[in-house]
Amino acid sequence: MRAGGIALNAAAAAVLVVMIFPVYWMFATAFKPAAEIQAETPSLWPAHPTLEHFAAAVGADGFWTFWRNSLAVTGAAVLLALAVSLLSAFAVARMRWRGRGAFIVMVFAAQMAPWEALLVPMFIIARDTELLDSLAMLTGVYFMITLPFTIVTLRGFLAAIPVEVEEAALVDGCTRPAAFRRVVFPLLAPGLMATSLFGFITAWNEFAFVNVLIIKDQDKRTLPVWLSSFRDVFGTDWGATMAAATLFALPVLLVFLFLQRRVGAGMITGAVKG
Amino acid sequence: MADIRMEGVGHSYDGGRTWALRPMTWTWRSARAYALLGPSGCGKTTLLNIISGLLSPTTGRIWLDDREVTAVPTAGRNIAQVFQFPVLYEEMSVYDNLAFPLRNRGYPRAEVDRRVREVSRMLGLEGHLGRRSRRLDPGRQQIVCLGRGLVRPEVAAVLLDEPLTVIDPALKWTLRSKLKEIHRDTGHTLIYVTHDQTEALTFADEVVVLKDGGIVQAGEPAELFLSPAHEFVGHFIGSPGMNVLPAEVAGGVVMIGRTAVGRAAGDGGELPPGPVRIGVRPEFVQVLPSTPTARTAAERAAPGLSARITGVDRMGAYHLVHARVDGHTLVARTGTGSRYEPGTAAVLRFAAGRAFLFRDEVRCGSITPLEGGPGT
Repeated sequence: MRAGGIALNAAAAAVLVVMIFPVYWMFATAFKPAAEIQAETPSLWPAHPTLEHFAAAVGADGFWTFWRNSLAVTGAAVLLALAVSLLSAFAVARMRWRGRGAFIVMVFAAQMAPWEALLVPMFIIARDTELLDSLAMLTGVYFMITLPFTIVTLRGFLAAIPVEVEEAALVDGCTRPAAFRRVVFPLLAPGLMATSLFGFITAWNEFAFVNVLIIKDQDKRTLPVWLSSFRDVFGTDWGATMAAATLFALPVLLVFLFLQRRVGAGMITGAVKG
Repeated sequence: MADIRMEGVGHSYDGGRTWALRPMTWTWRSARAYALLGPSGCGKTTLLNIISGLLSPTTGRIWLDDREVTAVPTAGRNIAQVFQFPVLYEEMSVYDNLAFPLRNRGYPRAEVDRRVREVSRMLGLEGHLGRRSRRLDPGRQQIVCLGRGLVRPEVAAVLLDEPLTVIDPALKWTLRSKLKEIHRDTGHTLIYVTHDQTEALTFADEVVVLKDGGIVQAGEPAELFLSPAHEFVGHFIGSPGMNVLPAEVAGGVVMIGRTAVGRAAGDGGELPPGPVRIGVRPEFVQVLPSTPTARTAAERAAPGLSARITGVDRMGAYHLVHARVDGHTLVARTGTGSRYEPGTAAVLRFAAGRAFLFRDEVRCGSITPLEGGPGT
């Protein structure tokens, strides 16, 4: 291997360690007994692995409710964003219409605006429309947050699929919707997976909006807020926090592992041709 | 199969400011093999897309025999189209790609299988039927696309939009012959778009030449070569293209400078006096020695145009002799036995009936011999 190759591999390995270590530390801590966590000399892996923290996390008040809330809000927001962005991306990538340029600029502008700037307006809107403590409002907010990115990304994927593929399907006897469903849709699958994964991670991890919009009704909270509840005025239960964080990260990890190959291919396609 | 009739069909992409396809009336007759020839951007693909229904014409109507199809979507027209670059359903196997047009039209499974196997045998794809289509090399991918175009037994026409662009030159010949063979066997109407004159002339029963969105000439390959109706056809077909020389018609005689080259015979009666352009192919320009004693008796009887040789290209099977006549360049194609050297004087003559007169690029007449003059 040439010197350049070795240096590149070493750099990649260093990046990998830096990225992986916090995640590993979370997993390892979740399995360590309290004494081991608090020990003055930290150990790299659990000497006496235990599941007591997981029991505490799962047994904590409302764990399954929050889990269900997170899944419902995230799932609904992602599906909604995918459906709307697919149609929008198709209109932008494949059709010529008055205002198309302005629409694209608007989508980009929406994507660039920092979400935090919308916290107060969203709170006022929710308050005035009596949608505070509502999962529907939260779903709507997550939908709004993920929509611009999904439109922009899907537009790139669609633009990379030659229009001739659709035309060939029309010539071969498909109607326009059938041509889209049978020929374009399978080619778009990696793009859909990449964008849905992004939407899922964004909505699943979101903390600020849920913290502002869900105030009184504690049963409407989602996992990120619940996670913060392990820290109180008396200190932090690190074991339970790490176990809860592990359980919290698990769905994202599973979704990513499941979609990983296609998402990788999708990201490359989107990057080159998008 | 059906005649495809276009009545005043034209298309503009910018609301009528410019025409990609100028309104035209034309009939593609059933079971013939057409080549649609023209330079890039002349409207060939637009014309094909209008026939297949991928594009609605800005103006005009289209008929398949007695059925008007102007507003009928692509799927309802039963026309097959093969694009310039391989357009595959990548997620499907080669077999499924070939079966796709038949399944969409509800053919029974046994018939689908029979047709797919027949077409794959015809195109040499039997060994690849189970493979993912995206794993094939581009040439073979395009053959799959050809197969998809040919798999339906009852198509009104098969439109081929420069289908052999991505194919190796050696395979190109084989496939073109194969297409001709298939055309003979199936009797499909084929419209083959190309900008390669060899492809057009060797493939088609009839060649349609398109320029700036309009048909400038249509006819059998030999007719286009021997009797171009438009300067563009003369330039575009033939290698090298037709020579064009400015001349003048005066008193019924065609003059290049002060030399009379023949009588002007108008295509539609007598030709009015005034400037014209003479078009003559290199194949029909004869080069003779300038010294009368070096010529045969017959050659001496027809003295010809004085010229000076400026160069000779040795092309292997023939020579191209470049000469200057009255300040204009002319190319003649001669046998390999000719021994003309640059800088020497020569005499040029045009073959009888093969030199034409053009006004505004359109042919208006031909040159007939002058008694004792340079035309023979």
